[in-house]
Amino acid sequence: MKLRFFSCLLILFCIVSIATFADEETTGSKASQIISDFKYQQINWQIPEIGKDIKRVVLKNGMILYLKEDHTFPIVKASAIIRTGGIYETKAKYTVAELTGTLLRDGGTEKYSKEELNKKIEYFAMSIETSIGNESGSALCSFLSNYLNEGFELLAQVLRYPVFDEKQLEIERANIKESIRRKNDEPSGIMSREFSIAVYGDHPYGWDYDWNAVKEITRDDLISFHKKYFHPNNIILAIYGDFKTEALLKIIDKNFGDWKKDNIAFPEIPKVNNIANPVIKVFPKETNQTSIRLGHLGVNFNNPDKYAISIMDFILGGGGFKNRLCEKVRSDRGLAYSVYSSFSTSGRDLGTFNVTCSTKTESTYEAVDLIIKEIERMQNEKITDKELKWAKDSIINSYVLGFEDPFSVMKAIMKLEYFNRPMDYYQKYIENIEKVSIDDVQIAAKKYLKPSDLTFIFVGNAESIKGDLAKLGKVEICILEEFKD
Amino acid sequence: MKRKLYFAILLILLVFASNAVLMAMDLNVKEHTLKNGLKVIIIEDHQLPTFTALIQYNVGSVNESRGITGAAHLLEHLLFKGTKILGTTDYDKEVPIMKELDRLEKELNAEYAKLQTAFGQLDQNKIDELKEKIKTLQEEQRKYIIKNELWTTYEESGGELNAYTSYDVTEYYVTLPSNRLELWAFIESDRMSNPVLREFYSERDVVGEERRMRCDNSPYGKMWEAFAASSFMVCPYRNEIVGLETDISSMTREQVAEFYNKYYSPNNAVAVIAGDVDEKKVMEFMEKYFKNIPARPKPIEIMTTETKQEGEKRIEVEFDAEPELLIGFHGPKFGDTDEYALDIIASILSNGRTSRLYKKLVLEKNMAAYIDTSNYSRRYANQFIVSAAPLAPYTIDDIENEIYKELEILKTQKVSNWELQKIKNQIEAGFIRQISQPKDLASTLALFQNLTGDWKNFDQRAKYNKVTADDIMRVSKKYFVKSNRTVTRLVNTGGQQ
Repeated sequence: MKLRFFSCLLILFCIVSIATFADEETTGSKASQIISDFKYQQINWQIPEIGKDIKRVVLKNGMILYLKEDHTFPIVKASAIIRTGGIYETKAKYTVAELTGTLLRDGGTEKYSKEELNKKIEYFAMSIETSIGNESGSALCSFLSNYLNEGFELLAQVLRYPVFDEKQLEIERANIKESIRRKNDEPSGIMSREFSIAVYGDHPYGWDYDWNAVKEITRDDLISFHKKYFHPNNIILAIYGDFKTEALLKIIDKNFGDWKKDNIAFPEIPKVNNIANPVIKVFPKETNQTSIRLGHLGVNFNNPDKYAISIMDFILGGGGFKNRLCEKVRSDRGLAYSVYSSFSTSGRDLGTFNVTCSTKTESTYEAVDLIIKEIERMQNEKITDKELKWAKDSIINSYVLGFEDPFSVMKAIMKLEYFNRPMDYYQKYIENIEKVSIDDVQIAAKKYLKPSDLTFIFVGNAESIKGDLAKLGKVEICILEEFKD
Repeated sequence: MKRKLYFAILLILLVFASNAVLMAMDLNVKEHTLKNGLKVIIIEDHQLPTFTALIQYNVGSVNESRGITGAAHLLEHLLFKGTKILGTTDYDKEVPIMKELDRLEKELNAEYAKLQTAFGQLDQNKIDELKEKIKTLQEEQRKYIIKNELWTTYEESGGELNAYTSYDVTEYYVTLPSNRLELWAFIESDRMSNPVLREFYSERDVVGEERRMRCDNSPYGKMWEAFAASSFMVCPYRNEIVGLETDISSMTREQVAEFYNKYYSPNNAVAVIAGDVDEKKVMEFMEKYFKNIPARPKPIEIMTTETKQEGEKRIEVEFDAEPELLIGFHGPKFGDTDEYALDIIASILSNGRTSRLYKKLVLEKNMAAYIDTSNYSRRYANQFIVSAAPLAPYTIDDIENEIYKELEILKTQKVSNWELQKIKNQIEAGFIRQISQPKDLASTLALFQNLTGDWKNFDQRAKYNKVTADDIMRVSKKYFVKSNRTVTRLVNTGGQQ
C-alpha cells in the first residue's frame, strides 16, 4: 500500500517536472536576453476624468458641455454628438438621416446662404463638418482661438437654423446616385457591403442605398428630421483648447442659451436578429486576386465576455504580426499581403466576427482552408501562456496609444455618456484585461466562434474558384447588377 | 464700401494676430549630429506619456534602376525580419542555409527565364525538384527563426509600428509608451547595422500580392501606373514604388543586399523623436547605440534628368469601373520658387467649397463625382496633378474641357485679393495646426532634413506670403500648356464612357 502510494507520488512528480521542462523556453534570441535587462520607469498617467480634468456643465436647456483648457497652441477644437441616426428610420427614409447630416453644413442657414457660409468658414481658416450615421449625429469644428465668437456663431447657425437649400439637395442626391453607380468598382467595397447584407438580413446595419427610395426623399423630409432630433437637451458638446472658461461660457450662452429644450419621441430601435443563415456567395469580377470575407454575427458592448473575446481575437488575427492568421497565411506561405480578423465588441447591438483576406485566384481555397482550420484550432486547443502574456502586454501597454491627444480622450468619454455606458470604463479596462485566463479564452472561443455557421463572400474570378469552393458547401454565383436610372 | 473696410480691418487684425501668436508659441525642437553623420531631431511634448520615433533613410524607389524596380520597398519589408541577434536563435546556422537557398533560387530563375526565349520550354521536373529542395531548406531554416520577433517585441511594449517607402525616402516609425526609449534605440540601431534578409523568397511573394492589390485590381492604381510610365520617359518616377511584376518575381537577395549596403548608412538617415521624452536621455541612448555604426560613402546623386516633353500624351486604360480622369503637367523640382505659386494654384482650384473647380464642377454644374488638384512635389521633379471623375450622364470629355477652361482663366485674369488672402490665411492656420501635433510633425521634419539639408525649411510661410497674383499668372502660362501635359482616361471595359 505504502509503496503504491509513493510510486504514484513519484509518477506525479515526474509528470509535473516534465510539464515544467516542456514549458520552459528553448533558448530565445540574444536580443531578447539583452532586452529583458532593460529597466522601465513606471508611468503614472491617469485617464482624464469628468469633474477632475474635464469640466462638465449642464445648461438650463439641457445641453451638456465638456470643457478642457489648453493654452499651448492658439487652437480650439469642438465636437458635438447628437442623439439621432439612420437606425431610427424606416427603410424608405433611411437616407434622410445621411442627407440631413450633409446638408446641415452644405445647405446654408437662415442667416448665411451656403456661399456666404463657405466663404466665411474658409476665409478664417476654420472648419465645421457635420454628418449623421447609423448611431449618432456629429459636428466637428476647429477654430483659431482669435475667432471663437465667429466660430460658435456659425456652429449655432448650422445646428439650429439649417435651410436645406433645394439645389444643394439635388447635388447630394446626384452624388449618391453616382456612388451607387460606382459601388462595384472596388472589390473590397463589394466584399464588405455584401457581407453586411448577408449577416444582418433586413436590419438597418445591412441596408445599402436604394435609389428608388433616395429619389423620393424631399426637402420636407430633411426639415422634419432636423426638427425632430435637433434640440439642446439632445446634444453633448466637447470643447478643448485655448479658451478661458468664463468667457467661453458667455459665448455659448449667447449662441445656444435661448435654444429651447423639447421632448423627443425616439422610435424603437430594431434589434439584430441573431439567427444564423450562412451563405456562400461569389461575385464575379475580372481580377487576379480574390477578396475574401468570412464570418458571422458576434456580440455587443455590454457582453461581459468581451475582454476574453478581445484577447482571443488579438491572438487569432487582430494583433499585429504575430497573430496566428498572419503567421500561417502571410508569413509562412506568402499567400496574402493582407489577412486579419476582427471581432467587434463596441457596438450598441451585435457586431460581427469576420476574417478578411486577399490572395491570388489560384490560392483562394488554400487560404480559406487555412483560415477555417485556425478558427477551429482556437476552439479545440488552449492558447499558450506565452500567447496570453503577449496579448495582454500588447493591449495593456498600447492602451494609452489609443488616444491620439487629450481631445480624443474627451471625445471617447463623451461617447460613453452618449451610449449610457459606465463612465469608469476606461479606468477599469486594464484590470478587466488582466483578469482574463487561458480557460476564459477557450470558453469564449467555443461559445462565440461558429466555424460551421460561416458566411463566405468572395469577389474575384468566379469561374476559376467555384469548383474548389464547392467543398465548402452550396455556392451561389451572384450577379453584380449595373445601375440603371 | 463698408464691406471692404470690414475685410480690410480683419485682414490687418489677422496678420497682426498671427505675428503676436507666433512669438508666443515655442516650437520645442532640438537637433544634434552624431560623429557618423546621423542627424537627430528631438521635439519635446509632454501631453501624453507616449512618443513617436522614426528613422527616415534618404532613399526611395527613385534610386532604383531597371531590373530592380521594387527593391527599396522589398527591402523595407525585409527590415522587419530581424537581425543577427533578433528573430533568430542561431544566426550562424542560418547563413549556409540562406547561401544554398540563394543558389537554388538562382537556378529556378534561370529555368523560368527560358520562357523569355523563342521556343523556350520549361523543364517541369527540374522545377519541381528545385522547389522541393527549396521547401526543405526553408523548413530547416525555420528551426532557427523566431517568427516576427521584431513585431512582437515592440507590440508587447504597447508599440504601434509600421513603415513606408515613397519615391524619395523610406521611413520606419513606431509609437511607444514614453518609458520605452531604450528599447527603440536598441532595436533601430541593430536594424540599421545588422539586418538579416531572412525569409526573402516568401516575402517576395507577399509583395507580389501587394502589387496585385494596389495596382492590378484597383482602378486608380492601374491609372496611376500607366500615367507615371507615360508621363516620365526617363526619370525613375516612371516606375511604381512596388515595382514591376517581373522585377519583383525575379529579384534576388543579393540585389536587395547591395541596395541596402549602398543606402542604409547613418550619414544617409535622419532620426526624429517626438513626444514625452527628455533631450538628455535621448542623446544618451543615441550615443550608446548608434555611435559605433560606421558611416559609408554618401551615395552619388542621380544625374538622370527627364527630357522636356515635346507634345501632349494621351492614354486610355480599360477597367471594369466607372470612368476617371488623371492629367499631369510637368513642374519644377522640390524647393523651386515656382513651387509655391503652384501650391497656391492647387488650393485656388480645389481646396474647399469655395475653390474654383469645386464650385464649377460640383456645386454649379453637378458634373463631377470628385475633383482634386495638387502640386505633387518630389525631389527631382514635380507634377501638377488634376484628377476627377464625371457624374453621369456627363463624360470625361466634358470634365476635361471645363478643367482647361479654368486653367486658361488663370493665365489671363489675375486672381482676386480675397482668394489669395484666403489661401494665405489657411497656410498660416495650417502651420499652427501642424506644429500642434508633434508626432505628426516628426515625419515632415525628417523629409525636409533629407530633401533640403535643413529641417527648418519646413516653415515655408514666408515663401508663400511672397507669391503675388502676377506670379500665379506667370506660372500658369509657363506650365499649363498642351505639350506639357499627359492625359490618362480610365474607361469602362468595352470603351464605353
